[in-house]
Amino acid sequence: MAKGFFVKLALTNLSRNRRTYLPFFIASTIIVSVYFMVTNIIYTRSIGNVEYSRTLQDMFAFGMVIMTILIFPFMLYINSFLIKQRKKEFGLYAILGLEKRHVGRVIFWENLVASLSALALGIVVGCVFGRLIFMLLLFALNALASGSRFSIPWQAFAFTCALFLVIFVVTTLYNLLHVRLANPIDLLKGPRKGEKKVRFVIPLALFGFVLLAWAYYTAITVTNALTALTTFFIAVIAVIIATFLLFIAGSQFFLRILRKNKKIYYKPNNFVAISGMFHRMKQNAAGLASICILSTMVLVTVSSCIALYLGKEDMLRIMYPDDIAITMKAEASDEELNELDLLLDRLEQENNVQIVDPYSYTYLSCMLLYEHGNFKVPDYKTYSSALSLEDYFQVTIIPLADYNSNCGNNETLEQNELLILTNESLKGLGSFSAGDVNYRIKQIVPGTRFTEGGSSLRRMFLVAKDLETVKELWRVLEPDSDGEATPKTILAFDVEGPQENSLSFSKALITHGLPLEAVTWVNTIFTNRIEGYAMYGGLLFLGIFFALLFLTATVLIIYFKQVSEGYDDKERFEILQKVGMDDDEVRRTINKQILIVFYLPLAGALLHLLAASNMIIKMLEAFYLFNVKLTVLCLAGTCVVFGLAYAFVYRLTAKTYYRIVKR
Amino acid sequence: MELLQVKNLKKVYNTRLGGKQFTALNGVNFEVSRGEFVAIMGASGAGKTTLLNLIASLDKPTAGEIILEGKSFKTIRDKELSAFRRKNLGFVFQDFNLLDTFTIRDNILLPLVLSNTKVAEMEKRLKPIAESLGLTALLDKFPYEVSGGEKQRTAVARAVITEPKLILADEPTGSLDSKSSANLLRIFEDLNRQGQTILMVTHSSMAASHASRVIFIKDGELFSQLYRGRDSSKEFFDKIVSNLSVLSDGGVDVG
Repeated sequence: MAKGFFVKLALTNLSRNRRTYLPFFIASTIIVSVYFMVTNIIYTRSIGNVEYSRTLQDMFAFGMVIMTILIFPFMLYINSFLIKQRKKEFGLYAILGLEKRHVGRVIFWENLVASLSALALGIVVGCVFGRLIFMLLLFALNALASGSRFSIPWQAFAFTCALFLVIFVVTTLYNLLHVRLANPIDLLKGPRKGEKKVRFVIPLALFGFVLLAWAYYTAITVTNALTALTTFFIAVIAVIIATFLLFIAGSQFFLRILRKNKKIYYKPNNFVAISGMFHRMKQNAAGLASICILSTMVLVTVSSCIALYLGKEDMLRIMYPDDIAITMKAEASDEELNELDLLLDRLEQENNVQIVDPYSYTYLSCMLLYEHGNFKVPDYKTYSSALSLEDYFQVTIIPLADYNSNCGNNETLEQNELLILTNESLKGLGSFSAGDVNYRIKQIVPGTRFTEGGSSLRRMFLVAKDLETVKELWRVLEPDSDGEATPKTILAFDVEGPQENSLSFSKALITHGLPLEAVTWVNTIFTNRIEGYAMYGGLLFLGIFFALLFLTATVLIIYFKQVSEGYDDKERFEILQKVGMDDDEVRRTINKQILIVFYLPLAGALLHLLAASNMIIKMLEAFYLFNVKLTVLCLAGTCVVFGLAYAFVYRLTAKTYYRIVKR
Repeated sequence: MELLQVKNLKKVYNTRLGGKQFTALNGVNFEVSRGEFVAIMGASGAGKTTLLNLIASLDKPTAGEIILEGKSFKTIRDKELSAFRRKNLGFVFQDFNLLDTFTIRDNILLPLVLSNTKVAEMEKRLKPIAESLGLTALLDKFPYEVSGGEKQRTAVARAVITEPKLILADEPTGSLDSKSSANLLRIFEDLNRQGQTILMVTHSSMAASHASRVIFIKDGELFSQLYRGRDSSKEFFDKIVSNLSVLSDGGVDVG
């Protein structure tokens, strides 16, 4: 047979099966272009001009790895769906006398044409929209870096082509194997085979329920950012498994109970609906569970990325309550201090800004365990045991003189007395004992300037009589240290002046200040702001790319499910009418089932998000986002938008369904 | 009064592309009395299935009238048609038309459930029917788990459970092997002996020979009728076959 024949047959097949191949083609194109755009951002030199572009590009590189991992199974899944739909057709070829290798050749050409054209179009779309994305990215980063021009590096082409070539090879092999292993009769019968029975329904359903309850409980009761971060991953895994179990076994379990209750079951409306749902859930549980999980992922990703992006200024303020903080050796000589003073004066004038509200204190710091209303010095035993970080306090010890001068007080302390500055509640703590030393707590003071800002750890300042007492106390609280206490001094102040001047002031301070003998570290909100914007802007973009990917997957699965449901329902529709159900009744009951089936994943996803919201809020606190109102708003807004988009997609795909059923 | 009256029935189809018209039935008249077992025979395309669909109220005639127990189909509103069908007619189809989402039990109960029957009443009716049709052991199976003959017996059970005035069977033996066919026809005869009126469209002379009367249709018109009288089914079979050879005008095999 001529080679042209197979190509021609493949092309005819593609256009004849366009109802499934066109959506597949569109989805592949979107995925290719997203992947292309991400790789483009990683390798392009054009954002190299942007400050902290490495942070950004590293983040995107990490995102690309995850995307690669996600795209692969997804493409295999939709491919297997496509091939299963066409079983009958392949069976017919075999009956008509095409050998398996001939069918294989047709499949090869079909896949080649579909994949290649999606790849080509995807790259074109990627190039076109890449430019737009690039502009938006610069805008989101607040960084109109001069000389940044859009370019397309060869790596973007190479990586995109390589990934989709591998996918092409794997899917083709899968399809060939599929046709090779089946005999024509099986292929012809294909979907007519009896249903699989779901085994172990009750234990599986119970296990799923327990798992979900555990995950929800963990998410709802988490009180601390770090615990949230560490348990999030395992909770996600638990929810994924539980979702699959509950969709597959839980639905059967629930419907079985309904079916056992004759009073409920043998009612005209319920009768058809319950057995219909029984059948549908058996066929579609896995697909629906995947829709549910993908939707949840979209919601979580998008809402947290938006919250981080919108809350970036809040986060910066909390991380850096003072515009600039200079860390110095406490034992710096007058000469060294003078040097710094002169530098600050000079930079102030050069950049036309003013230093306001300066304050400084000398400190030593350590970590303490807080258990049952008492502080303990952690030892190797407590470190190795599974205590979570929320049991710890970050402790900073300062001398009384610094406290008085900075807060304008006239407090006095005895040798064995302490003041505690903290915003945490430490009710009932009358004394502070560590080792064999016992201190009386004179007062617990909340809301001082020392405890401004926030942290994912609980913090407190201990105020002791003088620097000697500070060192003494520190030696007791840090028994593992060699007794060498090297206190540091922090000089913190705000800067007044135009934003650009403050930035250049900060940069100059870092370049000229850090080499000074006395200075060990300089932290400025102005330079950190740029890095923060780069990070959260980048994160927002990654989030949007991921959401696009997940959404494409979700939409395609919904669409394919609608198509397969449509073919099944067509027959059922006719039988019910013949047996004496009128057109309206049939339409209503099937409508109802379809609605339940397709909105169940959305309901599941919203429920998951509701349960996870506390955990998300806490997790964002690890990024110093303490603005709960903003987080909640982002969560709610994302849910509303996503719900509307979901309904829109449903409406759109439902049209195809009705076209199939009514024909 | 006759149970079913078919008066001057006419059905014209427009071909798919709209241009030509095709007359499937052209002025068919006949009557069916209570307790009769009538078979309708004819070649492919003679209009048998069209006729049955019209009597089943699944389709509407172009002209003419169908009257069941004095009630003309014309007077029934569209919305009541399904309920009317459910109450008065029972169906047995060639391809069974069982729902694969229902167990055998639920398939049989379907019409009763649709008419909102009480659970106790449903069970009371199901038991003797399932027993007499040999379905008791299969009630909890699904259609794809049982044989063709068992599926068709399920369809019969579904048809009779509503105690319909008339059972309509469309090629009921069409997808069955000879043993199952014979079994099914015996069931029809039994039902008929208990007073059930049956109207069966069939291709098979063997199936028709179990009826009490056979109506022959050709090209959309009533061609002739044969009454069984006191004939055995073998004798009746021979008569049907010879009548068919007249009908086919020589040459065309109508089985």
